[in-house]
Amino acid sequence: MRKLGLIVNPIAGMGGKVALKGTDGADVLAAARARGAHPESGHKAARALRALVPLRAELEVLTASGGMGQTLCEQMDLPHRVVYHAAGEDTGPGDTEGAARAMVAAGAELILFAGGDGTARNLCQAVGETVPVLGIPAGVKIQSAVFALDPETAGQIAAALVRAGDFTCSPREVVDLDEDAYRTGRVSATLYGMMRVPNCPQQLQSMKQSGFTREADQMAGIAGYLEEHLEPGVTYAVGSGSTAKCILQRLGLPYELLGVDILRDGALLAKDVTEEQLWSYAREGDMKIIVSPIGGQGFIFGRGNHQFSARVLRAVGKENIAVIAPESKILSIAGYQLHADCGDPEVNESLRGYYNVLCGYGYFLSLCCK
Amino acid sequence: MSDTKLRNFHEAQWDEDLIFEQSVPGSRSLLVPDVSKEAGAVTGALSGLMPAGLKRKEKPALPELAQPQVLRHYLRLSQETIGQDINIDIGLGTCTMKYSPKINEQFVRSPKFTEMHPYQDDDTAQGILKIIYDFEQIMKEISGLDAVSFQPGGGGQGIYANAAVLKKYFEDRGEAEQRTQIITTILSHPLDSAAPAMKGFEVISLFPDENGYPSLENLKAVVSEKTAGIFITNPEDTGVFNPIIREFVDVVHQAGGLCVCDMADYNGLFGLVRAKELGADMCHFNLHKAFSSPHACMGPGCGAQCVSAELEKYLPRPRVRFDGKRYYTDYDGPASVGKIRQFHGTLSAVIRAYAWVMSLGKDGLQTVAETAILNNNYMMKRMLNEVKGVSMSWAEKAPHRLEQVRYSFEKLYKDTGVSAEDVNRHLVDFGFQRFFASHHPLIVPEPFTPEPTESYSKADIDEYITALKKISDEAYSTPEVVINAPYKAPISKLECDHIKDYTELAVTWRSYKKQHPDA
Repeated sequence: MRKLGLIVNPIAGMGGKVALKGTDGADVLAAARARGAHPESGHKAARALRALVPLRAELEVLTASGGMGQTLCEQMDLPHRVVYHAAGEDTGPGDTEGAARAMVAAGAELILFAGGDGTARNLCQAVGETVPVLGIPAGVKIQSAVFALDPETAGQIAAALVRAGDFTCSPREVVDLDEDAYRTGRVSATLYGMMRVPNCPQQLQSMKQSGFTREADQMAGIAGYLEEHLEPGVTYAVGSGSTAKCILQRLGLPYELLGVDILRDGALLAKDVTEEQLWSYAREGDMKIIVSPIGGQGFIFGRGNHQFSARVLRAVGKENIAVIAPESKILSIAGYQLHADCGDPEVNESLRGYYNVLCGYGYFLSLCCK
Repeated sequence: MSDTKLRNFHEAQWDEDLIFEQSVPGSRSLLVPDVSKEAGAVTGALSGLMPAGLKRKEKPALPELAQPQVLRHYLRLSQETIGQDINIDIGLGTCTMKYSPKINEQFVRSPKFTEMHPYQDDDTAQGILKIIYDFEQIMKEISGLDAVSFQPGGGGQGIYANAAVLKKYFEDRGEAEQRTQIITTILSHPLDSAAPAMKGFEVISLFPDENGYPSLENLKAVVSEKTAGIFITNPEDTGVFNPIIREFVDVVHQAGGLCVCDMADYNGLFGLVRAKELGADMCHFNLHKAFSSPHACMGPGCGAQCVSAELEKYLPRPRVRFDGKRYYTDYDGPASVGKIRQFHGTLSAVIRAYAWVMSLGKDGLQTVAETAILNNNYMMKRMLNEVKGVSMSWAEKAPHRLEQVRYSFEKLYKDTGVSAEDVNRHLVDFGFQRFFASHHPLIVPEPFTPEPTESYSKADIDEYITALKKISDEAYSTPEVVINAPYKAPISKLECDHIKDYTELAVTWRSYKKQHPDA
């Protein structure tokens, strides 16, 4: 019997069709309802769960009360157990977190959740990297790299994992936009952490596969190559996320997973710098940036690393930007294209063109940033 | 097409023990009269004839069986094998599975060849040396290049030998420290990356654009004074021919790099396109693929390495030469990359390929390519029109293919949950070998790469497509039937992800015991 967690964020996605850019916060929800928004995520979760129906004999779904999963399981006749009861009619971030913790306690092997970046962020807050998760894209904002391509694919992946038994996972980024800023036309995203997403058997992860080498080996190759090619006197600004931090891990240095750290001559000069601090280093010249794109969507700047501001990037220049990523991460990026959005059209333009993305020891994939 | 019948097939299962486990002490296949006394009277004491170091200290641990048991054992094993000669082997694309004429086996099994000693004097081996020499002249014509070595023992070693020549070339020019990068494409064979990496080069790989091959703009962006060369397959694994290959090569040449063409996917180009006209400075062909010598599981292969006159001096040694009267083995060559293989390499592959080319002639070779292209495009049309859930990447800009196609079962998977791997397992229920999905990385989702070479008839292709149509129909009506396949094989569905993780891979009992000390 396989235990699968299911969390539906019933309000996720409601703001989208009524042009509210998201549904974070009670007032926005009220506004969405006033504009005639209807629940979206339940339908999307149902599309995903269809793939699990034939497996009901092998499955126990651990879920939360009412619209957070229970109703759906009843409708689809999936064997389920309610492990978390929401207090009121309108559920909130606290309910997502509570449900996730209850599922881990009840032995969930994978948590399937329907929502958007906000839901992913709440889930990340609650469980971090302790349990594999997979997102059914149902929210307005889907920037995090923890979502399947569409609800059907999420369901197929979950079904394949139930059938397969063992599976391995890779850490992937959870990012979320600041909705208030977004509504005023500004894109501002923060990296909230990493969650473990299944590397699916039978070529299911985006249905693409990088080969017989393991991601850990590719990461070791990347870190080894970077270490050998560090130049004396150059200031390295190491971006956020566990991929970029591989060089600091390699050197045995401390780092801030979600921030930008400064490395020079094998020593950590500063941890988790602000844009202002980063700018002061960049002004000195001789700076190189080490970044990794966000899985799934390919942003190298402008999502979760706003310390790399327009003025910093202008000073450093495209030729001093090293992009690194294991091959499996590259394959998860739609169209194999990088994106950069630092808020300044002129600097964005200067960041366009091809990057030799370091994917292993001395092995590069040439990717275009558009 | 409706009269194409699917077979009521079932794979053989003999549950056969290893031959060592069947050994019965004292059992013999042949009882020969003991003549040691009479022989000893002529030769003297045997112990004096052999150096002590060559003598076994213990008897070899050979199984002891009578002839019928031995014959039965190997016939049973052969029945359990789905090889090229027993099934319609269309599915194994990029491998160019074609019929290997049986008369060629007579040539390679002739004592005239099998009795040759590696250290035999050239004067007594003029026939075999002539074959090597003559076939080099043929391969020069087929490639358009100026010198050929048959030393590499397979396609991978052919690419490696080319990387070695490339390295040596730049060492001689004093540019080895500067030219450290190789460019290749993500849809070229993975060894086009791996082999140069083994020679210490950095590798930059290019993705295809909407045309199915990389853009010239992308190539120009990565070419620099560090570029040593480009290793490129054309057509790539997709069967898409890169029509701007000359521009690619020119960009690399202008930067001072060389062009190495991987001609492993050559079957659709015989008589139509030569490596020289593609702009290659070097290339390799697989004699065990397009030239009909069988693959035989990692050997006996031959990667025929062809190079321009400028690079000839770097070819591996030995080479076979002709002075107008006599053929001889030339080990001399101070600039050579040296020896990469024992003696003359895999000569059986050379002999089969020589016989195959001679039997076809120039026009025959062109017919091979044209038939392979026709077969493939017939199959493509039926696949895309009749097999639900199948699609082809880059179809819009590149609707035509040469000798093979990389299809995708992505739609089938999204519609039904049946993956390419599931289809593959079910295919064996109809008497076909498993198909080849794709080289890594899998940038085409749920891939499938068949290659209907010139050996297959229309009826063969129809039978294969009929099976795929049935599987697709089942996927849409009863997906669990496909997901739980196979049913007519001796082993049912296994979860075998461990073969994708080398740390868990155990192909021998010894390696298994290493991983599982308690086993």
